[in-house]
Amino acid sequence: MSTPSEPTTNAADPSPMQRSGTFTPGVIEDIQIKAELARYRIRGFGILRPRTWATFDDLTFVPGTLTRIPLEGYREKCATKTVLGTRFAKRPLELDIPLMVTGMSYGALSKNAKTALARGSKMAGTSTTTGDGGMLEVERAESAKLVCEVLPSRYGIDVRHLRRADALELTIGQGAKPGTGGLLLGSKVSDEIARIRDLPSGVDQRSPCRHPDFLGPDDMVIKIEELREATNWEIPIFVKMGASRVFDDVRLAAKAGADVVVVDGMEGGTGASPELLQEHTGIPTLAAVCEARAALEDVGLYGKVQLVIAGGLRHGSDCAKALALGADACYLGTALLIALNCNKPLYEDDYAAIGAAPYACHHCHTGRCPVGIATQDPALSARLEIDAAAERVANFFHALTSEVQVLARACGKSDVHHLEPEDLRALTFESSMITGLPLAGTNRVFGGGPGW
Amino acid sequence: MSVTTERTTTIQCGDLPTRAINEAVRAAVASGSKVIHLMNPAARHNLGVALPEGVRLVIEGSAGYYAAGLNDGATVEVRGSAGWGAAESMRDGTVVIDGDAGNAVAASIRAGTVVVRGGASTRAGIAMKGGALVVAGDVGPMAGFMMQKGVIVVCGDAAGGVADSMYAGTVYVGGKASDLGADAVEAEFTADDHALVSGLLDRWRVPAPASFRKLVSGRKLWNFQRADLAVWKAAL
Repeated sequence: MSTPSEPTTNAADPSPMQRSGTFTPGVIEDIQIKAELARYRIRGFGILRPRTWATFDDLTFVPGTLTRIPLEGYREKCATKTVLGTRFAKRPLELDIPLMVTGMSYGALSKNAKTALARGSKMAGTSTTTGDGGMLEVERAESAKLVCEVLPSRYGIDVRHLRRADALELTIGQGAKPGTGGLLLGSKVSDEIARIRDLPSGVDQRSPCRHPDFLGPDDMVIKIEELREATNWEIPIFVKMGASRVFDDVRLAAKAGADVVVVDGMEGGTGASPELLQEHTGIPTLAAVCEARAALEDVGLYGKVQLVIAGGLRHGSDCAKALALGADACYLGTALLIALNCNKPLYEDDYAAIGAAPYACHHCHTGRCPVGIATQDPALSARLEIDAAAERVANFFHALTSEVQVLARACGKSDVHHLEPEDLRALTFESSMITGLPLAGTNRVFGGGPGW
Repeated sequence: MSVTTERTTTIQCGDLPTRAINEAVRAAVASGSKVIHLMNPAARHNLGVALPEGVRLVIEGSAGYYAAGLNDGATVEVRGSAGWGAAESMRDGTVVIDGDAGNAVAASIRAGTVVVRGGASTRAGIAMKGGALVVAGDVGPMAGFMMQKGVIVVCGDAAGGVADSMYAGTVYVGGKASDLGADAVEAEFTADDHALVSGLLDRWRVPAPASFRKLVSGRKLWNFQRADLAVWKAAL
C-alpha cells in the first residue's frame, strides 16, 4: 500500500492532535498488518506511490513550425509498420504497429482475458505474448503473431510450442520486480492451472528467479544458440530484463546474441509480488530507455538489435516519446488490462468485498478480480465477454497508434520510427539530465544525459 | 538395439560449427536415417537439440552444454561426459550419459528418462515436471531442487540440500544423504517404490545399492503458515 504524505508538522507549535510525518496512518497500518502477517506483504498491479521521479510527462514534443514542416493528417501517410528481429532470424516479426501485448500468464489472467488480448491484438495487426504458464491453445489460435516466453520456471515448456511461436523471449526478469521470480497465490492455482504448470492444486506458487540451466551472459550465449537450434534459426530471440543496471545489462544481452532486447521499467505491472519490491526496486522506464539506447550505441548495435520498451506506458505520448528516444516498439500490459475493464466501476460491491474500490484496485493477487480479468473463478471470468473485450483491445491499440501518428505528423515524420530525440525538449532539470535533451527555453543540456 | 537393420549415418564433426553439425543431423533425419553417429564431437555445445521421436543419436565422445536439450522424443546417447543442462526441458525421449553430467542435468524435464552412468553435479533434476532421472554415482548439492513431479534415483551419495523445496515428486537416495534440503522429509520405502526403482535400474543396467531412502515434500512450503515461521525464514 502507498503511504500518502500527511500535512506537515508545525514544529514551533505542535497541535496535541498532530500526526507524525514519519509514522503516517499508512505506515502505522502497514506495521500492524505485518505484525499479524509475519511475512512481506503481497499484492498485484505495480508501483502505487506518487510519481516523484522523472517520467515521460517531463518531456514535450517540439513540432514543425518554420524550421521543420509538419505533415497533414488527412492526406499524408505516417507509416507504423514495425519489424523486430532483423539480426539473425530468417523470419523477423513483422507488425502493423509499434505497440504489442506484453507477457502476462494464463494463471495470472483468466482464459477470457488471454483470449480477448489475442483476438484484439490480431485485429490491430500486432502480437501478443504468452507468460509464465506456457502457451495456451486458444491463445495460439487467436493470435496472428505470438511471442513465446522462456522463463526461469519453465512452466508448460514444450519444444513444439516454441516451434509454433513467431518469436521467443528469454525472460531474465521483469520491471515490477527485477531479481525475483513469479508468484501465483493458491487461490489462482486452479486444477487446470496446476495441470498446465505441473504443480499441486492450490499451492502458493513461487517461481525461481534464475534459469535452472544458466547463470550469466556467457552461459546465455549458449542458451540462445540452443533456442535457435531448436527453432532452426527461423524466429527472433528476444531477451527481456527488468530495468536495473540497464546500460551494462543491455550491452551484455546484445553481445550475447539477442535479436531484440526488451527493457521493462520500474512502473511495470505484476499479478502478485512482494509489495516492497514493486515500490523500491528497479529504475524508471524513462531512464531505462535512455540507458538502453546508449548501450546499443556503445556496442555498435543500435539499429541492428531492436529495442522494445515496457513499464507503465499508458497512452500515445508515452509511447511516442519512448520511440523518439530510441525504442523500436512498446510493450503494453496494465494499460491493456484497463482497456479490458480493470478498475472500471462495475460490480462495486465485489470490489468492496476484497477491500478495494474502482480506480483503487490492486488486488490481482486475490484471484477475486471483480471484472473477470485477474481470476480463475469461472463465475467471475464469465463477466469478461470476449468479443466486446477483444474489440476494446483493438480500439485501444488503434487509438494509441493514432496518437503516436498525430505526434509524428506534427513533427513532420512520415514514419513513426523517424521520431528522434531532436523532436523532444525536457521540461525539468532531472529529465534533461537523464535524457540528454535540452531544457526547454535554455537550449542547454543539464548533465551529460546517458553519457556513460 | 540393433543398428544393422536400420539406416545409419555417420557424421564427422571435424571443424564443423554446431549449426552445421545439427543441420547435418536434421538432414539425415529428413532422409530417413534412424541412427546417427557424431564422431569427434569435442564437447561442442547444443548437440542433438530438439530431435524427434524415432531417432537415435550417438555422440561418440563428450558433449558441452545442453546436449539433447529440448528433446522431442529421440534417444540420445553420450559416450562421454556432458556439460550443463543435458536433456533440459525434455518433452519426451531417452538420454543416456555414459560419463558424468554437469550442473542441472534433466532440468525441468516433463517426461522421458535421463540416465547418468557417472555422477552428476549441482542441482540435478532441478524443477523436474515429470519423467525420471537415474544417476549411478553421486550427486552434488541440491539435487531435486524445486522439483514438481517425477522421480530421481541416486545410487550414490547426495550432497547437501537434497530434495530442497520440492512441490512434489520423489527422490530416492541409495548412499549417504545427511543434509536434507528445506522441507524434505523421509517417507517409507514401500514395495511399490522398490518395484519402480528396481525396474528403472534393471532396465538401464545400473547396479543397485543395498537399500534406498525415499525423500518427498513435507508440504510445509505449499502455503504460507505462521506456524512454520522457522521453515519460511529460509524459504521466503
